[in-house]
Amino acid sequence: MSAVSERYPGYGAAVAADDLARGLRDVVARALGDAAVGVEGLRRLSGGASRETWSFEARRADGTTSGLVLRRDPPGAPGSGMGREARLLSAAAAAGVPVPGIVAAGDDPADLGSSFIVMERVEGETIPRHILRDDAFAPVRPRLAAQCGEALAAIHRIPPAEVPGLEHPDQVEAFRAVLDQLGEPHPTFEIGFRWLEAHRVGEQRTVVVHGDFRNGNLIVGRDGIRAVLDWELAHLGDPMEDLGWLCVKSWRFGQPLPVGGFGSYEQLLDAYERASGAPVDRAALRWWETLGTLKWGIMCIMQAATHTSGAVRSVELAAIGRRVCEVEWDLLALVAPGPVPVLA
Amino acid sequence: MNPHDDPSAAALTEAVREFLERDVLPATDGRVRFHTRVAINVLGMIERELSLGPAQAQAHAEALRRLGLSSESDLAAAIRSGALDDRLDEVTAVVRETVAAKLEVANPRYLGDGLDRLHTHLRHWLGHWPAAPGEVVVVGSPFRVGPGWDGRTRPFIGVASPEGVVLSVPPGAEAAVERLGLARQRLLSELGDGDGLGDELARTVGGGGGRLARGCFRWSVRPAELEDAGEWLPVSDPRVPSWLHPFNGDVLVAWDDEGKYGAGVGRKQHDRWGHELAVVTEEALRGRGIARRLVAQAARRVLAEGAVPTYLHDFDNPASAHVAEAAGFPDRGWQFLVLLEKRTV
Repeated sequence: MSAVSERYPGYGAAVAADDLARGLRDVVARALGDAAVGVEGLRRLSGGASRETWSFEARRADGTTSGLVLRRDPPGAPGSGMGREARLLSAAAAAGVPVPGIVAAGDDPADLGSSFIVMERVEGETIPRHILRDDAFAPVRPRLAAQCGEALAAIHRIPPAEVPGLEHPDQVEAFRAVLDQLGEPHPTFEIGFRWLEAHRVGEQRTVVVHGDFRNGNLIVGRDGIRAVLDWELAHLGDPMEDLGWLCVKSWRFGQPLPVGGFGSYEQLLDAYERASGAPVDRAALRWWETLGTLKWGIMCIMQAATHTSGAVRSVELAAIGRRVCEVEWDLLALVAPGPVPVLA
Repeated sequence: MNPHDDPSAAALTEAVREFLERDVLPATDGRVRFHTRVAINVLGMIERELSLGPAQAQAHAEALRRLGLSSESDLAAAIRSGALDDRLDEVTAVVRETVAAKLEVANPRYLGDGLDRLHTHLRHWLGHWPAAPGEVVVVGSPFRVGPGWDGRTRPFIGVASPEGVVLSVPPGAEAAVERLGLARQRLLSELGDGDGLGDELARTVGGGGGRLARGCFRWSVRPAELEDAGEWLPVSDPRVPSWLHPFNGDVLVAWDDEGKYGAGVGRKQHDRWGHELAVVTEEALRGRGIARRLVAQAARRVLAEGAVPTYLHDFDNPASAHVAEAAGFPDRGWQFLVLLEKRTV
């Protein structure tokens, strides 16, 4: 669950990681075809429990440098398929999705201790608070929802055959199982599941779904969206899953606009429909936004459990357990806005 | 009894929070500063849980008992299995109340500003809100057959804004009430107050005779900035006069020049979001602007506790209207309608 730690600034703790730097130098030297390349300024960007993100500079023999980013599984963790993520990034780039260019990728633990991707560092902002409030982004904010629609349409154009091995889970069943496994029953979530079951929408198309497309996983520059990050939750499913998730209230970070806190449904849907040629069923979008809300509530419980289980002790993760009720409140507003009037 | 010395656990928590706010926060940056903020929030949460927790636990246990259950897990399982499907409205109301109680501790701001609260209150208290412009909604609500703020059941209440009207009746009585023709009236003012309609309505919603009473419905999200005039006391305090005994929670009392009770405000806590204020001033303190100051002071507390203050009075009570106006409760053209027991004079 690196999602939350990446939302906040101040995670750039300098870490002495000589072994990693040596392995990284060899990997980058091979990829760039420059035996004399040097790795400088290696620092960890996020402290998540799932994937590590590191930033560094590669200095070539001729003195030029490139800013690069390493994403890897925690050493010793069972491989989560970085090779697959690398294939996804390539296929996404080919489909016209803005993504960082890949420099190297591998699943051999002999290289960097676990499976990894080295990619180009894209300059820009990922922290939602800054994107939503800083004056520097004021001119670009009104364009972001439409750009999200275009990027999502491009993602949904990725031919599934190019990224074999993606799962196609039923989201309701999958998250009910996760909740049961956590062993913390919540009546609100049961009301949510009942509503989802009663209002199920058929899958119109089966496409590659990003799975975590939201404010916080986008690199935004003064020109707009420069890269879509964090593909580890990609799977096959209904394209509306991505649109609904982007509209979940938590990703508005306290701002009133429904799409990521920066745009309107109309801006997102107009752009998506234009770019994809596929009309959006508003009821389906609402269903997926509701599912996304429920899903985020369960993910908050998971994050708090990461602390209570002792896996990662953190006051931040502990506090997230007490934010579950915010998501419950949002969910009730979606599925039980009050008794229906008898007389219209 | 608790054997510990002062300060209490709540006061100690407050001291640590203040230390983090005053001394630690300005001295840190980056990740530590962010985590200090989180820690300050967490301590605020603990303080609120220490003060609100016991009453919340009691109310929650009582709500579960009404559903025939004893835990959140039971409730979750019953919702999943469909065992409570015939009481779904009631179940949803209990769940909503529980989530609101959690938010009251974890992040009261999430419950919304005053206007949100007013809407939530009316939606909860009446069963539906708002009505569309020109619409009269007759809605069945389980709260019309359950105990109100003072334990008594009020089988019929209504609120009208200049846009529309919502009439709240016992579940199942909607169609019969509709047949009385109430719903055809566009505004409550067009309804007769006569005992005839009251009797008919009382029979329809299940009761003996009755009379319809109408009045001005006021609410405030910005009470007048007047100086405090009173002191909050638990109703058990011997200095609290008997008329204030039925009210919910602490009552607000002002003293006269001799230090005796001179005026008071009680709160009718209809639900978590809407607390109705009632004020009475004794002869000795009248004409000195005490009542308006008491009402504004009580309204500030209601808002601070995450609810919206409302103020109801008869149309033929200009003194009460004057106090409300001066305390920051403007007349917005809203009305209430309630079925009272027949005067036995």
